[in-house]
Amino acid sequence: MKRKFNYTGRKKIPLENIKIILQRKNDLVESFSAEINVKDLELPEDAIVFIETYFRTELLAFNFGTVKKIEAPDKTDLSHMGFSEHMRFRVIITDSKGLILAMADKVKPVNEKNSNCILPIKSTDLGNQIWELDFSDEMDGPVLMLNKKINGIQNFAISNNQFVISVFPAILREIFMKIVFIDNIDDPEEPQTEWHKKWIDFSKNTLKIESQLELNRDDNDFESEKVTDWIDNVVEKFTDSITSKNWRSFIKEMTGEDST
Amino acid sequence: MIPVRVFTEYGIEKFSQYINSLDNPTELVLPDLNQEPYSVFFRPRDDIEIDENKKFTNRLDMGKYITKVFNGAGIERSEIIDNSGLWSWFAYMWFKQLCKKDKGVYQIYEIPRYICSSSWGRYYRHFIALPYFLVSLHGEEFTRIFLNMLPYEHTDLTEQLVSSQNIISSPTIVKVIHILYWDNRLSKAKKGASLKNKTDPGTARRFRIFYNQLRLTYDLNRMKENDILELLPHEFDKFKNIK
Repeated sequence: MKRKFNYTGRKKIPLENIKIILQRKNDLVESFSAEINVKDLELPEDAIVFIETYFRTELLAFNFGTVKKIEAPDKTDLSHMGFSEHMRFRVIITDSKGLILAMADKVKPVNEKNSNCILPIKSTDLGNQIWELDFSDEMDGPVLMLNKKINGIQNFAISNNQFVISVFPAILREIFMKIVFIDNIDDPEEPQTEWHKKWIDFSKNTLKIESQLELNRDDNDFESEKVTDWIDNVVEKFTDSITSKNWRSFIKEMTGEDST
Repeated sequence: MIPVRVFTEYGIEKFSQYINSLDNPTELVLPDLNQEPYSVFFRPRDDIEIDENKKFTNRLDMGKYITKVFNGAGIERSEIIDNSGLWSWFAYMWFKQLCKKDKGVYQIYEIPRYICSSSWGRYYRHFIALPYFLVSLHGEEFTRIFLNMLPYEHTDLTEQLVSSQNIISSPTIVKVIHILYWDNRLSKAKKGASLKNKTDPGTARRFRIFYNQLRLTYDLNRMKENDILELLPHEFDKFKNIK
């Protein structure tokens, strides 16, 4: 059993302890309110609570007082923010010097679509490509981009087993290659990045891959062939599932979309 | 002067087809897409205009010009930042400036440089959307480091730093980058800032690595720039203006 170290000393605020509600006017996002419960985290009473709202180029921060007295500022105006329909929230609790004591990231407003899927799907301009994986959101992980010029592609991609068997194995392979060889994760049992963890959990819990992904980077004993064998195994297990009745549930778990 | 327009789906399709059809062109004869159904006026009263013949010395000038046009018309960035049809139309209007001419032949770059995509991985690579969002968000001074290049250029330093949404959305971090890598005296990036080798000390690539580590521990967006500079390891000293 490997020992785990939390070098940052930072506590995680459980997502269920945070409730963000968007206020709208004429259907447009205008402001937000928040309820935050950090009583059980044993944080200093004078620690400062901030809420950041962000998406892509946009970032706004609001001071919500201290752990002892969490209260919204006079204004939580979001009406001037771009991409306001897509924004996410981050609760950050710091000491007076800016050291993060506790944090919760990627919080979605409670009245918006809230999905735990690991491979969201979007339609976009892809030139002449049919699909592409977008890894540009460093914290959220891959997004399956589909060419919006193809009518009905989003539904077809998750419900047509010919498409699924042709494309999804390549998707899985690309994602795990990215996790291991590009992002260079050290510890597959407890990856630092949340989306890495979700995909490794998917291999274990959903695809029932029994063999461990062993990296041993510290031991100078890294065998890339073993790792690619492990990835082959994941892909094969998924491909096998397509011939069974399971594949629709796997697709739903990955994409959050119902393919039936 | 010409009223600002927005490409429709048809316009984007037609412009894409035109770009894809170009093969070492010596002339660029663009199709007329300033008509329906390819494009529509940005505002029905067609009162926002741009100079279609304006020549830009660099991408910063381009960002400043568009920011001034929209600010002058009372348009907020939140209203246009994700308008792919608008940014693609701008690229159409100034297309010749966005293709390097070398020995009589225009160099055509990848499609996302001209057609603005809703995917972030492609969005920030757009020749026009990037200068606008940087200048409108961070102002002129702190974005020189990313935009002081010819209209059709996109340097490795820009690629390394702008592709990170956390970095580029933070005014504090953008100021830190300016302090580290912009040479005010020479009006260009400091020597060695954009070296490509992963192990070259203190480069923009290294900054991105350390930034991703520090942000796990420190609330960088609310810290003072000098305090963040203090946190960086010695390999960055040569860029910190320390004599």
